[in-house]
Parts: sequence; C-alpha cells; structure tokens
Amino acid sequence: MRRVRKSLPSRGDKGDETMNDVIVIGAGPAGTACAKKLAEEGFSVKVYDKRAEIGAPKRCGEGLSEASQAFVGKIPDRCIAQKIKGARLYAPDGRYLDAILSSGGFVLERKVFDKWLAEEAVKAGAAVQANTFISDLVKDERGYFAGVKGEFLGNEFEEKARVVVCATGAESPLRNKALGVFSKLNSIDSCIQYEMTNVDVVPDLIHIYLSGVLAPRGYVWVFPKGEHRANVGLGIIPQDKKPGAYMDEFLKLHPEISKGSILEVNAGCVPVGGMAKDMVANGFVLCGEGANHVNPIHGGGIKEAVLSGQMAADVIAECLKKNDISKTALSKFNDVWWKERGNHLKRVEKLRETLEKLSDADLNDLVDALKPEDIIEFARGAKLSVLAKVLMRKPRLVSIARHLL
Amino acid sequence: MCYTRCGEAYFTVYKGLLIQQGIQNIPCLRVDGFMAWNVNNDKCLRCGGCVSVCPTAALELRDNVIHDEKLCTLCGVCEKACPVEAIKVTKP
Repeated sequence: MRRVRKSLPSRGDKGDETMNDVIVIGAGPAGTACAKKLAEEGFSVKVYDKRAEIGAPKRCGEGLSEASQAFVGKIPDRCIAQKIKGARLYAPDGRYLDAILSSGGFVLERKVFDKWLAEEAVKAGAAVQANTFISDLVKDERGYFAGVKGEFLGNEFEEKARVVVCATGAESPLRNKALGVFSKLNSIDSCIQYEMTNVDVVPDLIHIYLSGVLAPRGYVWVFPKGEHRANVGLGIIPQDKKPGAYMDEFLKLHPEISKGSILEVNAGCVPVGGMAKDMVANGFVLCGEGANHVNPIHGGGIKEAVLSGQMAADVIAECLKKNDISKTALSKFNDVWWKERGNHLKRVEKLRETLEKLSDADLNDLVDALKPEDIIEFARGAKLSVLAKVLMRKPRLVSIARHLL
Repeated sequence: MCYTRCGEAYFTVYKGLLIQQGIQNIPCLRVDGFMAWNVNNDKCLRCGGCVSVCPTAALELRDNVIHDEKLCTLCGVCEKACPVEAIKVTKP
C-alpha cells in the first residue's frame, strides 16, 4: 500500500520546488530507517546510495536476533536465509557450549534485506536512488549544511535540503569532513569473510570460535545460510599480519569447513567502540555505523543502526516542525541516543576491553564456567559484575574477577 | 594541535632533524617530495576500511580508493587497518 504524502503547510523560507526537507546519504539500515520515519511524518525525503545495487556487495555476517523485529518490522521470508535457534561458543581447546535463544534469530540475505528496507522507506513516501555518489556537502550563507553535491551516471548535480543526514557507514570521509569523526585504529576490527558452500556445520546455530591465537581480540564466526552455505568470517585487531593469513590457519584446523568452496569474499573494518560524542552540526546529523553505533562486543550493527536512524528521525522531525535546525536544537539527538543506547554500549565496550585481556587458557576456563544464559546476557551487553561472577566460578580466574569488582 | 590524531607516534627525518610525528602539541609535517602512498587495485576489495580510519579525510572510496596527497600525513593507519595488504605507505 502506498502511503499518500500529507500536504504540509509551507514552512519558513521553503519556497522553491527543488528544496527537500531531508537528504539522507546512504540507503543502509540506518538511512532507510531514518527516511521511512521522516516520510511517515510527511516530510519530503531523498535517499542516495553509492552502490549500483543497494545492499551489494554485503559487508556483514548477516546475523540478526528475532527480537529486533520489534523495531525493524516483520521481516519477510525472502530476506531470511536461515532461521537460528541459538549460538555455539567454542573455547580455544575445542570444547563448546550451546546457548539457545528463547526467541531465536536469523541469518539474513543482506542483498534482499537492504532492498526490502529501501522499499519500505519508498512505500512510506521517501525517494531512493542507487548508484549516486555524494562527493561533498554544501553549506548555505549562514554556514548551515544545506545540501549535497553528487554524481549520477557521470552527471554532476547539486541538491538542496534543510537537513542532511549522513548514514554512510564508516567508509565515507564525509563524517570526518563535517564533524571530524573517524575510527581510531584500536577501536576497529579488521575483518575478512568468505561466503562458502558445501560446508558441514550444524545449520540452525551460529558458531563463534574464541581464540587469542586464531583471532587476536576478535573471533571467528560461521553463520550458516542454509543448504550447506555459510558465512565464514574472522575479525582481528589491526596489525601487520592480515586477517586472510589467520583465516588460512583457521581453515587448516577445520576440514569440515575448508572442504567447501568460496563463492564470495568480503572484507571490512568494523568499529568496535569509540561511539561519537557529538553527532550533529547545524543542519547535519550523523547516525548509524558512521557514528560508530555498533555493538562493541560482537560487532553487530543492524540493530544499532536502525535504532539510531529512528532516533535521529524523531529529533529531525521535531526540529523541522519548529523550523529550528541549528546544532543546539538537533543536539537533542546526542542526548537521546546517549541516554537510550550510548551508555549501554559504553558498558559493553568496557566488557570487551576486559575480555580481550584474557589468555587462551583463561578463555578455556571461561567457556567452562559459562552457563548458556550468561552468553545471551554477554551478547546483549551485560554489566562487568556479571562477568566477574562467572570468573569467580573458576579458582584460576578469581584474581581477574577481583580486579573487576 | 596534532593534525593526525592517529594515535600512532613515529619518527621521521626532515632536513637532517629527527622529528616526532603524531604526538600532541607537535604539528605533523607533511614533507613534500616524500609522498609514498600506494594502493594495489588488484588486491583491494573496496571495503573502505582505510577510509574509516583515516584521521585527515584524505581517502575516499569511489570505484577505487582515491588518495588526496594534500591532506595525507602518511601516518600509516590505513596500511594497518587494510584487511588484505593492498595499501603500502612508505614513511620518509
């Protein structure tokens, strides 16, 4: 059902026809969530995406919990590659522990999922255009951000908007040009992922391998995608030895995976901390992965992106209605996001920093001491005291636990 | 103010002097004639990891990674972040 855009009373100096209320750069989960909400409020929204095909190539393990549907919306079956019951966590010595989620989860097909999100935004009344590279931001005479410079099929254009939303993800220099936000080297994980076929793993669990030797600071993931396909990925702290070399070592140890064939290779740097303190400027809002809104313990970003996009949309709608898009007015987004998500993610970041200090022997003991419900708690981002309690169960780890408490 | 804010301290020789770069309060010197930033486009997977860590917005991902040598300080974080060894930064 196509929603008919409500006609709005003319606001302020919005005289000319080509003026949009909002331009969103990037049609990922953050950008489309923001655009959808704004369009539902009746604002004219344009979304530009750099990629020739929205959602492709993916740069993602594609896991999402079923509970996320509460704010993403009911995900259609075509976006789902495999339904998941829970997670299997492997200690460095090969022992494992299953954590069954009460509500389960999905391994998505991001190429379909991202397009579906874009369709939802279009249905709400937004306009989406792929293959459009936004090269720069435009400021007006007051020094407010007031539009973008872009390129579509070789034709350069300039388009104006009252508010520009940067939902580009971490891979764009625009966030740095506008707000000076970038990812610090120690708060990203350098990742590589193979989409493989003919892989033999338990299909309805996601598999997480912890090891300081195989993946320093990060972990190896195997996310089954049905019919013996799986995303096999690895993320590590950036260093001279590259993730590809670590991946070779991992595959050597796991013949049930390495017998498969590689269908697709993806790489990327995932922010695992360093959430931006200030995400707004006059007429400009940064949201999603670009503001490092990613869960620092597992690097999952879809949920955080959608939430941050929606929070940004609420604030922008309010500011546009009041006709005040100054930094002061928009900075309500900082307050809202930090209150709702930021402080929580900051705690998760602390938890990650603590976990990365553990040696492989510690990790073996940790997995031994964990109970399935603890894993779920950790993935959501538990308090350090929960980790301390787990560590207390093992005499060897008590000293670390004491340090935490 | 340190321009790079990259958190990576390193040393370079400029006009016979040993200069510390990347440390607060000492401006980074962009030494002309020593620019040595290279990307191997055959290895590059166009993931944009280098762009996300660049402290000076000197990189941009279009069809290939575009490098702006006026902004680049050769701090080398992109080389470290790159998942596939596509970037080589030769420090002066």
